[in-house]
Amino acid sequence: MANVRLKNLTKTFGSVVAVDNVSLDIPDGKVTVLLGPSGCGKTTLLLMLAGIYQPTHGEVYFDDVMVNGIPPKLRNVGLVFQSYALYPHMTVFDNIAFPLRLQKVPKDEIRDRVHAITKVVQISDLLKRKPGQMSGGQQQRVALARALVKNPDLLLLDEPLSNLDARLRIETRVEIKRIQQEFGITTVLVTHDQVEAVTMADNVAVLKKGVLQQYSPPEELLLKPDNIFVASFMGDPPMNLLDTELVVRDDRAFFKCGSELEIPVPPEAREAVLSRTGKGLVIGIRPENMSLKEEEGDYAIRGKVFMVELLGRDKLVDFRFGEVALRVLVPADLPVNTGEELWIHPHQSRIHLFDKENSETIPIAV
Amino acid sequence: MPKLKYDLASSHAGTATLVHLAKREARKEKLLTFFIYSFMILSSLPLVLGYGWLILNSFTDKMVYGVVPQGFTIKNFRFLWELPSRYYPDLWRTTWNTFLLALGMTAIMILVATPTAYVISRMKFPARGFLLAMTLILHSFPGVTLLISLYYVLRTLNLLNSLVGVFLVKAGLMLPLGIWIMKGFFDGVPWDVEMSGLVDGATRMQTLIKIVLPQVKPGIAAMAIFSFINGWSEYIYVITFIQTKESWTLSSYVNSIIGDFQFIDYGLLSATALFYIAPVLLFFIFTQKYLMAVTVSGSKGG
Ligand SMILES: Nc1ncnc2c1ncn2[C@@H]1O[C@H](COP(=O)(O)OP(=O)(O)OP(=O)(O)O)[C@@H](O)[C@H]1O
Ligand SMILES: [Mg+2]
Repeated sequence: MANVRLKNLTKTFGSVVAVDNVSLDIPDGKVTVLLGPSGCGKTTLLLMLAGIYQPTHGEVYFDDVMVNGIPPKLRNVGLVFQSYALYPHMTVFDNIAFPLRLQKVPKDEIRDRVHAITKVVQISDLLKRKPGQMSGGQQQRVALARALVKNPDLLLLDEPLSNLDARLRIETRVEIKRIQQEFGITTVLVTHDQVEAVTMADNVAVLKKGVLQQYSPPEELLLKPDNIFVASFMGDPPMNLLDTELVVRDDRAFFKCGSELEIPVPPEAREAVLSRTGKGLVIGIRPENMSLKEEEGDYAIRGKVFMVELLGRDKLVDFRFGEVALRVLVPADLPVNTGEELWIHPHQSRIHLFDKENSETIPIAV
Repeated sequence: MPKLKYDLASSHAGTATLVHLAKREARKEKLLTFFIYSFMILSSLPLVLGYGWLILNSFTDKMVYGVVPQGFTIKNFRFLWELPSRYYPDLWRTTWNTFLLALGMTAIMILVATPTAYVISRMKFPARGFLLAMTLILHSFPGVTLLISLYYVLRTLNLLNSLVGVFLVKAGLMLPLGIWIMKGFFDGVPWDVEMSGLVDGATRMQTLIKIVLPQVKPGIAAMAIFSFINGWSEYIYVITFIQTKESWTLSSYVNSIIGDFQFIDYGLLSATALFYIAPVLLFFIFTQKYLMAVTVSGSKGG
């Protein structure tokens, strides 16, 4: 329906740079997620797409038409505000019917369309209420219905599920995805919940302080983070990120972290990293990318269990090497006891290496 | 967990103590309520007594010792169908004038203060802060200090002895307050609700009319009532700027009854005063819930 392109988009509020030189290609009919911590400029970016904020620099294109300066009214976007922004003096029915009435849709059709969409978001029994008489989750669904009812070319959702309980959230997520696919609506969804991002997105744009960090399909964010920020932001429990230095001893290379931990470098990676000897590096290994065994292996590390934390189906085993901590995720039924000595086997192909100076990924071909 | 004010763990009979404390709190609260009510009743007593005296006085022959009513009569109200003396203008004409002034005030406050307040609340323009400060300063001038200069201004403009002159002066002095009050109401409407309207396909004007104004209705109502009462009871400008009897309002009428008679006819004075305040009192009783909105705050639930 619409393919959206952002070019060098910047928005400043006084001295605050809310969005900083962001260029993005939002493909037609796909879900693009804006992900990032609080205050990183997600809402600002979304409101520029809606036409509410004018960019300070840069351009927004809808299907190669520059839309800077075109008012929201003419953009046919459906927008769900973070704060819902329902009309407090109108009933739920009138709220949802409002955009259709402005389009002069015939009465009967308005009634049918409102009823259809409220059934989808499960608020059919609330049509006569006013926003003040509903729970946060119900209001959120009204806002969603109001955005969807006008069949928008571009659907903009600012944390549309944040106030729903776990079950309703999963249901609504599926419902949004279904509607989105059925009509092929180009959707931009803002969230700071990475599970939501990974399940909903075709592409994810990670933002930090207004700057685009990475733009890729969700699985790539986990497998190939572009920098330390993305690596640490994605994944739960978080990636182990350790300051390290490359040392070579007896013709073997190690990542030396602190004074007591040495992680052997696999031979395949040696070529790529040897030139970095003596430079500041950060090594990253996700807790789920290591296994614990009684027996030694080629690149295993011997460690003593410091603490075990049960997390539902998994447990997190905490090793300490002097001041350095390394956490390993194992199935909950694996017997591990505090104080026990075990071999940690990192999955060689899942070791990430970053340049400490600019925090960017150093590719290691394994 | 919020910290408990009373440390239950340290007391041996935890629940018993809690019940005891709750009782003590309730008693304290009752006592406080009692004092508040007593204070309010005492402080409003003079007003209530004053109105009571006025009503009794207007329907009786005389008040013995000034307080004991004696002999029911309606002759004090004869001014309704005959002139107290031939120097007086027609009562109904005067009432109509008063009504016009009150209505004019209401109209100008709604028509000028509302849109102005909206613009001030929502849009950025140069000297916005300065303008806001100026409106406040304008309002804080005591009106009396301007009497003489305004007299000259009106005379130059040939607006002495006309209701229009009084109306303009009053509007000028009242508008700043109205704008401030309405700005407060507009500030209470979240901007994203307005933006939502724009995204839903409304023009700015449609958004204002269909989304913003309905939410500040209590404010508009309160301001309308307030200005009506204010216009109805205007005294100082009317008696200063209007001498010709055709343009009198009820306040000039009552004023002249106090001043003109050699010995004051308290019965007649009370009756005219009652006639003057009755509409306002009735009006106020029917509309006070809207007026409350101003003091209670700008926003309301759905
Ligand atoms: N109208 C405004 N005036 C001034 N500063 C603003 C304005 N709107 C946003 N900002 C600033 O811009 C930055 C980005 O804000 P934005 O609302 O886009 O964050 P966000 O990513 O949506 O955060 P959250 O997840 O908390 O909603 C913040 O530092 C914020 O303080
Ligand atoms: Mg936000």
